Amino acid sequence: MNEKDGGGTEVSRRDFLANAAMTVGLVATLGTAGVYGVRYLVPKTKVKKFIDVLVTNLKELTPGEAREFIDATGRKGILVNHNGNVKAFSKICTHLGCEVEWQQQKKEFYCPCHEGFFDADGKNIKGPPPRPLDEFKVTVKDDNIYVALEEV
Amino acid sequence: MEDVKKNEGWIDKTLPVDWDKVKEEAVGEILPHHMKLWWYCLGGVPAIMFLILIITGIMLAFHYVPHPDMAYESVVKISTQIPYGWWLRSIHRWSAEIMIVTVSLHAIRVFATGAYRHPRELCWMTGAILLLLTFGLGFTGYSLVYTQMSYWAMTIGTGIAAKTPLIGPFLSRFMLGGEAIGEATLNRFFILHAAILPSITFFMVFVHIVLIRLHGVTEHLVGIQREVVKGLSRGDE
Repeated sequence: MNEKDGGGTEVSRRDFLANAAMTVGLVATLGTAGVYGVRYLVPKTKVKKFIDVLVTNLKELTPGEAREFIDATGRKGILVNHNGNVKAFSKICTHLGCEVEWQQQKKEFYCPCHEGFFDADGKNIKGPPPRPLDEFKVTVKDDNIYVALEEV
Repeated sequence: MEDVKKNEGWIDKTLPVDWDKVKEEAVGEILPHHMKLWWYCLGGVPAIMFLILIITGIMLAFHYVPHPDMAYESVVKISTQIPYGWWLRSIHRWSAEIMIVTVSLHAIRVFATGAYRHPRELCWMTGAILLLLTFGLGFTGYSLVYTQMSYWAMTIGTGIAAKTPLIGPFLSRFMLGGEAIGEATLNRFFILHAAILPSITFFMVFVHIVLIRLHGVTEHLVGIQREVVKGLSRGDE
């Protein structure tokens, strides 16, 4: 490195530490960038898997009533028994992501943020929501209600 | 040790380059003292930003779709769904912002210190072209996101072009690829932003740097004593 301290074979402590710090910094920075870059380009290969989860039963969910549930990732859903026909929807409004509420009298889902309404089948009927609520598959077996949730 | 020596010999034979000389040429430049003030080196910052922008820009092009129905959706997807897309897009966006700011400051510094004077006219001219290219890249890039802001930026930008004497209407139509903003406009802006302008910029940066190295750094015009200017120092100290 330095001509003064004998033929360039010896490296001073200062130079060594400076070079080591620079190398560690560069490896950490470029390494992180490289890993991020590769992960950015690799396409998703995971196929979504669903499993039936027991949520409640028909004795507890009488016609007209609704019941909230949360899946393993923390996303909220709502089960509704509309005239004996059980359906499950995501609670997330399709407009800007507020939580919808089931209004038992009107038999409608209501989003309080921007006055959005969905009917009992999850269809957007009034207000700004652009599309129906996301729906989960529901299976009723021996009065038990199962909802197909994404496996984590 | 034997292996390493053999290896070195092989590289030296197959790639007969005098690396010491390359290093001397690349980083061993003799610099005047005032170059140790950071505002005299603003030209290097946009050059580094440009390299970062090329890399992140290529990455973003993997997931961007230049179609009116898909452009904004694909940008949202990059920012919210694709792993580290937000990271790459943020780097691209902020590097662009820093590049525009530093290019402008660099131009102001060169103008204020009179560094453009003879014999460096060509350097100033290529620099002026680079300034315009940078603004062009910023404008086309901003438009590609295709938000409301982008749409109206495109409208205003092409509207300004339309006011050019004589060739204005043609220029505007050429930029838009028709009478109004649509599919063709987004394609044109994408090709300009991702292929044509960066290529010209890359070439111009090369010419600009070669000219700087040929002429050396300008002597300070005023305010610094002759002794300080004459007292040259090695750039790597």
